[in-house]
Amino acid sequence: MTELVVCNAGPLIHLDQLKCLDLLSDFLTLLVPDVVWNEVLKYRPHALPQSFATLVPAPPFPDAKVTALCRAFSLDAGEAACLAILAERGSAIFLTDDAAARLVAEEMGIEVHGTLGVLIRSVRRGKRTPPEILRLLDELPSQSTLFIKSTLLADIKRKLREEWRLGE
Amino acid sequence: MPFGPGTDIVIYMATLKIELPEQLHERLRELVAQGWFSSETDIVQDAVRRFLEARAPELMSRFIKEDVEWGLRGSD
Repeated sequence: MTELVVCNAGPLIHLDQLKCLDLLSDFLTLLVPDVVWNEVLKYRPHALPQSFATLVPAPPFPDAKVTALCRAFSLDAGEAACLAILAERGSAIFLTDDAAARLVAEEMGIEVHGTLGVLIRSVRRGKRTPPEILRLLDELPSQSTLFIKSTLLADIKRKLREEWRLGE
Repeated sequence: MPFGPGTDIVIYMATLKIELPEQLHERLRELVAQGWFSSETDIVQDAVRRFLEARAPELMSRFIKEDVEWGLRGSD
């Protein structure tokens, strides 16, 4: 199991919208910067701090290179806080659905994934069944603010049905 | 047609009307006043260009496909 995961607002919001926030409990240690949690509460006010997430403050003196990259890519305070924590912690996974934040994380050599990966991983981890995840992907455009181009989403569902040996 | 001496390059510009919080606008004014940019328009153009570069469709497609692979075959 992955030791340490730092999570940005996007996956927390999108997984909550899909009623799948519990999937984050499948990571050993999940850190959420407090600035990120405040952002989540703005959009999902009913969401309460989950027992599996540890709220942490952003480092007061983040790495200068990280700060420069965050500014260059116009990342928000939550994304910058996640990356500052990741820069300090070394080996960890970053969960985000923001392309620019993902790009900066790659530049920093950090393994990064998003909501879609967490959903599909849940099958591999035995937390959800393939039909459950395919149903969630069907509902994604109407139940979540995570935007995936419709043709790409259709391709993904087709690929998953093949991988999981399910019919149409 | 290749560009060369005497070739006119015409760049068509669209005009957008945007609303900004006063605090943000003040920061734009400061950057221009300090000489970092020639105009507020330059800053907005630069910001939009950077935003679009970091969210290019092929980049977003790649990220999503990588997510699918990790979900299916990751080692964690």
